[in-house]
Amino acid sequence: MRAALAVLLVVMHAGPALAAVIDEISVERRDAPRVTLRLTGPVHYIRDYASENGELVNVQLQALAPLAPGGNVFPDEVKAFKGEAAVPPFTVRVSLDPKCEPVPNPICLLIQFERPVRSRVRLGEDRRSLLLDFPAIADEKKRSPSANKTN
Amino acid sequence: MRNGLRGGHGRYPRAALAALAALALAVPMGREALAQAAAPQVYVVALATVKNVADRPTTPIPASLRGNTLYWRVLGSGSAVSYQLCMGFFGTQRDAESARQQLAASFRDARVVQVHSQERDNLEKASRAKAVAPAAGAPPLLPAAAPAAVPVPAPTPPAPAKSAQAEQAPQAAAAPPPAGSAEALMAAGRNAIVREDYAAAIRAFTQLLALPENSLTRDAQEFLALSYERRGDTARARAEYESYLKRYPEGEDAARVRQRLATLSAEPQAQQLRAPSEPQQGWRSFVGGGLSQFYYRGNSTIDSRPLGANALDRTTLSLVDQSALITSFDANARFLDDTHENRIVFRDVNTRNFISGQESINRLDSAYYDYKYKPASASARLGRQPGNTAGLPGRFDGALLGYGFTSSTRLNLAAGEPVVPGFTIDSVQRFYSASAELGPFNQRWSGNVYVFRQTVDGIADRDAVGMEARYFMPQGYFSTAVDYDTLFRHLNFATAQGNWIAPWKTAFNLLLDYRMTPSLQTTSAIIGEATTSIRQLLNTYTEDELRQRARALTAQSAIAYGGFTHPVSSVWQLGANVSVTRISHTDGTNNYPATPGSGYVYTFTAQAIGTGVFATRDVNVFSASRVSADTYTGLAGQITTRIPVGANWTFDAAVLWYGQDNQDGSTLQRVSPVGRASYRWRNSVTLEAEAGIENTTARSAFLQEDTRRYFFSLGYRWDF
Repeated sequence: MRAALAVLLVVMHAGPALAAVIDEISVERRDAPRVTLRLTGPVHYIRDYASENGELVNVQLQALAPLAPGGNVFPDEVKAFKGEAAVPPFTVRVSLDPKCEPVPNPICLLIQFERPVRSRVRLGEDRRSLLLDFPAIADEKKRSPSANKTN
Repeated sequence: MRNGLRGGHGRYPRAALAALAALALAVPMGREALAQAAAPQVYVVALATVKNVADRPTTPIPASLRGNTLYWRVLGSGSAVSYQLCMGFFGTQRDAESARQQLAASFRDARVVQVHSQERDNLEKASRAKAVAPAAGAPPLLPAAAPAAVPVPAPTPPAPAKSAQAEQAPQAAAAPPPAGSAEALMAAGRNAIVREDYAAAIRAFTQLLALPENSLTRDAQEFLALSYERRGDTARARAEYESYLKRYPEGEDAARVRQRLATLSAEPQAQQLRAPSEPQQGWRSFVGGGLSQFYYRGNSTIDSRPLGANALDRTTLSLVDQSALITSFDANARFLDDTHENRIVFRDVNTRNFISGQESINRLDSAYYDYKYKPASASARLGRQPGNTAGLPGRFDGALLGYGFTSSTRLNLAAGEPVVPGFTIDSVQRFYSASAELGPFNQRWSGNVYVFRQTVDGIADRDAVGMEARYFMPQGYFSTAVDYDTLFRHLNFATAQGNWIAPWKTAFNLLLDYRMTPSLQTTSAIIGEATTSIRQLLNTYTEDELRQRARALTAQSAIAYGGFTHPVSSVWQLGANVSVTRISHTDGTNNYPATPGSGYVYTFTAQAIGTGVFATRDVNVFSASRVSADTYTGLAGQITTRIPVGANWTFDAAVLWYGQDNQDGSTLQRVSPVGRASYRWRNSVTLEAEAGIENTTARSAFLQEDTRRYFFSLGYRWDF
């Protein structure tokens, strides 16, 4: 019990709570379009995986400081992208629910595209952004939930 | 129509042919130009812009200009494509303007356009490539007058290629090279790039590279890298460019490849800033955002049953523990042209609590104006904004100014007041900081260094210096960051993290993190005090005493985490991870008790992730964890399923089970099924409902407590 109180104390007093995780969604027109999800803080990338047709993409991250706003309500943050430069519209749902990934301070992102699409997720070099690349659909072989992060 | 652009013989039909031949270079060139580092600019005269190359002008060209190159540029705007007939290349604007004046009578809309020298080089390369590998179906010849060469084997998209080939029918009669030969593979690869079929291009160039070294090997290596780059596979493109440089480190082509390699490593933002030859599009504006309202309600029933002699003293308590309406509003307006970018962001979350005693809260997350001046890589952001970089607070009210001195050095200055939602004090905190963003160096290294100073009611609150170093490679990354407080003379945090994908596709990740919680700062001394004013506390304590009290209330948190994920089939991937966490004790003060440390908490987790297990579009996660601490051990299992149904519905379901055995003999069991359904209506509105139950049984030697909690949420989200 005392340990639990200690944890509670730390959570209550811990650094700034960041309710908003996504600061901006932007698309860059290149030979292949790239979408950047700019985050409000540095994160550690854990894994990503997608549905067979690429319509759903889950990205599991870990914040390096507590993000949960506290209390027993964790309203998910949802942001929509209207679609641009051949990238289909999608929504990003951000959950800070501690149960979404068994690590301290998890950030779980669910990206849902309006139609099946091949995408690839990687952490931006500033550690504060996620990059979504879209290789040509025709180029992709049958998707596998591989660790090469090609969704 | 002799000497015109259509039909006939002589120099300009050949030039027109060249123009067609060079068509489709423009898209790659235009886009590639986005990614070029600063390099010499040249000038061309844009004669006319048409919707279709078949509509090319028939106007004669003045004899004095017939020695120049004519070619097409492809201009894209959204899904629309147009073709711009250009004459070039001129080393100075003055020469180009002189040519334009000579052409003005025939081409009234002619104008001088500055383009990247790469555009000229591309044409030259295409000409040389054609000269090496003339083949049926290969891109047509460029004019002899055209300077030689380009690694963009693009010439001629399908429609214009037909015209071009028709006009050089005699050449098309040449015997095609044998299938599987280097020439045939080169032609196939180049045509595949024209069709934007990069997978086919990669296959062809890979086969060519498998042949013994020949005259096309060098170009094939570069084309292969280019194909990966166009496909968006930057990591492979880098690897192939690097392979090229290992094999062919010398020569003009090598310099170009080095430049492309450097470009691939550049920040996307930096690349945007360099867009030199895209046509001016004028001011554009975008507005987007969302409004959502969700009602949350929870109801708990707690049934307490003493065990043993007092078994009849059973009590039941039922209460509404949650009743709140949460409204979120998010708006983002952008107004930009090719030089300036203005952005206004507003983000607010309002929680209206309906339970007496629970406070309603409005949280303004962001309200800032952001300006960027692209040519100088300068930026300014004013207002409430996220920080969390280079020592800045997570959120603050203030200003952040940046200026890029070089492509690898950027200076940022910031000043303002930190904002901590839900943590209001009767003191004024102010900070200022300076940081330098460095890199990329050697295409892989980047980082920053910073100094940060914060005051509270006029005394030093936090003084820190810090740095961050990052190393990115195609297979992963490694980064480390350190923040040292010079006021407390203590490490504030140190973190190292990495991710690596092995050749056998196993992805590993690692995190080591040590930090003070909360961050070291004098303000922490108010914890447990009757006042939240540092100014008032200074009447009782000295500055040093306040810092000692702050230090006594600050714990240390340490996390070590490592894990891996490996695909075992097209459906399943398996993963496991282990983490060790520890939170230290705090000494406490005379007004706030000491708190014990957590001891080491070990967590082992195994996961199986399946896609397409129950339905084509589903994603399923099965996980099991074991938690081990000084005073308890726990086991957890979780199943999560998400399935989109039709075009508008998405269903989520999860079941969580947790069991815990405490050192004192008590136990805890919890089962929690949750379901969620969302329906999208007219593309911009989503209706969503979630409901769940949480059953918890806590049992000790004297008491059993059963808690059942029902909860649900219901609401909508409008995206505009």
